[in-house]
Amino acid sequence: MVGPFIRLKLRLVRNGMRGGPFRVVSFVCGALFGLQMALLGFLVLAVPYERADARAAIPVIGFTLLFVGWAMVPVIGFGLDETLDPGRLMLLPLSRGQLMRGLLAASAIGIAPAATLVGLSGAVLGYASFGIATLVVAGAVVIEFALCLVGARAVTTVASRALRSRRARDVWVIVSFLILLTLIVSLQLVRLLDGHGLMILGERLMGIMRWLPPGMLGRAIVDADSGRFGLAALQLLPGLAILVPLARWWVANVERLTTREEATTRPRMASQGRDVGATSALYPSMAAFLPRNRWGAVAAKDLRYLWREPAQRAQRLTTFLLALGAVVAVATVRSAHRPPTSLAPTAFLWWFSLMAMGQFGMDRASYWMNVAASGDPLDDLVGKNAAIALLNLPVFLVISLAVAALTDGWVYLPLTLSTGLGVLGVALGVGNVTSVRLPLPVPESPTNLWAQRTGAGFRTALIMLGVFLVSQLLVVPIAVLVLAGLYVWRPMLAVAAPASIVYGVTVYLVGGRIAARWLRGHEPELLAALGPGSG
Amino acid sequence: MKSMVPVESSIVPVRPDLSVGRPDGSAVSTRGLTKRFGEKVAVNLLDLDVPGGSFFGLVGPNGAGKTTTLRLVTGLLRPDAGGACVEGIEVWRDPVAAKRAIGIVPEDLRLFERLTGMELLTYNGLLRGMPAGVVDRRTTELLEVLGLDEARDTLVVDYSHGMRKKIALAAALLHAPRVLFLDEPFEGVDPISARTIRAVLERHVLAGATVVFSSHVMEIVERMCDRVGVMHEGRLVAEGPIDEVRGGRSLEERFVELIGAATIRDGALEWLDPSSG
Repeated sequence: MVGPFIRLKLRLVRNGMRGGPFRVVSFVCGALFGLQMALLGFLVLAVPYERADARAAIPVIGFTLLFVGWAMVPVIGFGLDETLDPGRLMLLPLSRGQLMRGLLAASAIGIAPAATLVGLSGAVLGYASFGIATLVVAGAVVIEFALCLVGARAVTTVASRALRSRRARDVWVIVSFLILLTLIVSLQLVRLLDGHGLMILGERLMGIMRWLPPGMLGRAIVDADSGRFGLAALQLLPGLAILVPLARWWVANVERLTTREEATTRPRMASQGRDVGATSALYPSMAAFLPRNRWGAVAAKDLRYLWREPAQRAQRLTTFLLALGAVVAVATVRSAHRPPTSLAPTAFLWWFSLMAMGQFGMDRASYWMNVAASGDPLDDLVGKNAAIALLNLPVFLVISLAVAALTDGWVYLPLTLSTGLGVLGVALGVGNVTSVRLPLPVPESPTNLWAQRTGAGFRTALIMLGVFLVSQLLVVPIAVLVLAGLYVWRPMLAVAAPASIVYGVTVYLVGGRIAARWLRGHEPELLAALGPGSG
Repeated sequence: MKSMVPVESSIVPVRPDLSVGRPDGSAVSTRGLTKRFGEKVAVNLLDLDVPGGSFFGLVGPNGAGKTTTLRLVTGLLRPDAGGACVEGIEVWRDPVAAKRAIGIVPEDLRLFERLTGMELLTYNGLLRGMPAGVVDRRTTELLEVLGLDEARDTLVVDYSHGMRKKIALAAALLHAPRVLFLDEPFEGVDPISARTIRAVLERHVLAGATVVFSSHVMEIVERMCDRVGVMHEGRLVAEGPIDEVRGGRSLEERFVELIGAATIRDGALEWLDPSSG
């Protein structure tokens, strides 16, 4: 039964490369990157380590980290290959078991799965020196591989469901915050440890990993290598035992997502009970002051979208949690209690504003409404920039005030605010150019907010990396001025504040001008790039 | 009003100069309009004239190039050759002015689904630079006339197919365009919604506007349109007043005659008969 799924996935991957050389290039680049990662993983597991403790620890740590990586990386933002959208298969007369096996087989086709399998197979070379050992090691590799595939899909599907339901979303926020808080506090504790303490901590962590299913698979490899086959076979069982329920959970959630309506959409009554004009209903309260013109309407619409669309909402929640985490980090770290720390929120604003790199992505093919309306597309860019500024500046202001209060760095607050405006200008200037020249359509899968097509994930990562680098380079002048003022010549700080604003505005204007000039003649091309099948 | 039954089907040189051959009073003209997608020629040297104030139906089988033609004429898709003119304005030379005269209801109905019906209309009005007061008044009236008043605060993602067609029509009408393009406006729409849409379109034509719509439903085209164009493989194979195109038969019969209908060979699909075993 899995054969048709595999053939379908292969056909979809092949067809996905039609539609321009850039798609082929990004697929090939993605494959080359995957090959690098595969060889790295293969070597790590295949090398015959002389130290026994290293030889015993590598598979346990490697298998655990690989599983955590597969589960977390898609949600962080790089997406997950869903070329074969499971929601589309729900109409087929298949039992849950058939569907599960078919989807699992299809999800094993792609660059990342291939790289993972090649990497993991290094264990066969490194740890399976004879017949029965080879069987056990190969079994562990296959189970770990399946766990990675199913785990990633279970996390993204469940998270997608959570972010569509109001109650589940609240729980998601609280749980995410607690995890973040635990991580921050743990990292601070690690900083207090010396070399010996770190060693003990490492051993404790190993102790935990050894009893988690992926870690036990790693132990099974080590035990098989030492000839303890019974113990090795036993340690394969927990991985197998969680694989089936995890897959069932995943498919059950896919079914729920495709067969039930979104809980958040029905009861929405934006203007109910308010006696407002039709145009005012479009504008959220926080943006009520925006003008009733093209750019004002685009800003108001984007603000609505940034909260109403599940994928966007997920990103915004992450942003706010990170901001909160930053304040908590400053509050808990004694060494951070120095006035210059109050400049740190600038870095956060820069990071948050990088969302400007794909401003048309969430419009998708609906962007035709903007193209069909007569008007200057520069207004679209200005409106989208205004939405990003309105969303991020209040958060930035709150963090800046909180950090200034915690570090007694009030004297630096004007500089923080002005450098913040500078980096915002840089991020928007760069983002405007990439948004129109390298558009990133937001995936549109009902079952997975992080769905990507094979090869498209690498393209997204490549564009993100490029934007990071260019944006970082353009922020250097501001950073140099501030650092020179802090550590070389104090009066320079007085220059840094206004200079940052002027510089940021200049980069913003130049970027906006380049983007608008191109967009005025190429709206249909941008529309085509945002349409179905692109990305 | 010219009659062309059927249109010359041989390939003619591209004539991007739209002043050539454009009859006075044309609301929409295309000359040599061509669009390729890879190997496939979706629209092939299309010459079309739609007289102002007419109700023009564009019919053709699936893949004939109707949707592509509408997208080319409305500025949503760039042609490979040729040009289009709306109300005397060349779409690709002065897109801003041309788009002021155009309203569009696309087939795939990709709308900003996370806006409510009312928000979608006001967004569209403000995009077009209309004064807020005018947008307020027209939005309220359109929602009422199209029977969407109750659903004005519901997100478009929760609208039924018929409601989506109506909200898209409302968005297209908001700025009172002189030429309205609709791609399959009656497809998948219940009779009540279809009746409402038809009444609104007829009202618009009575006010002197031009309506161009594509459809597979020949009865609707026969009942509503005064002119019709039949497209096949990217070209017009017939165009003119509907009675002339029909030539005394039903439009469907004439359509089948022009395009040719696939027949099921003897013995095919026998397995559909339960007695076949």
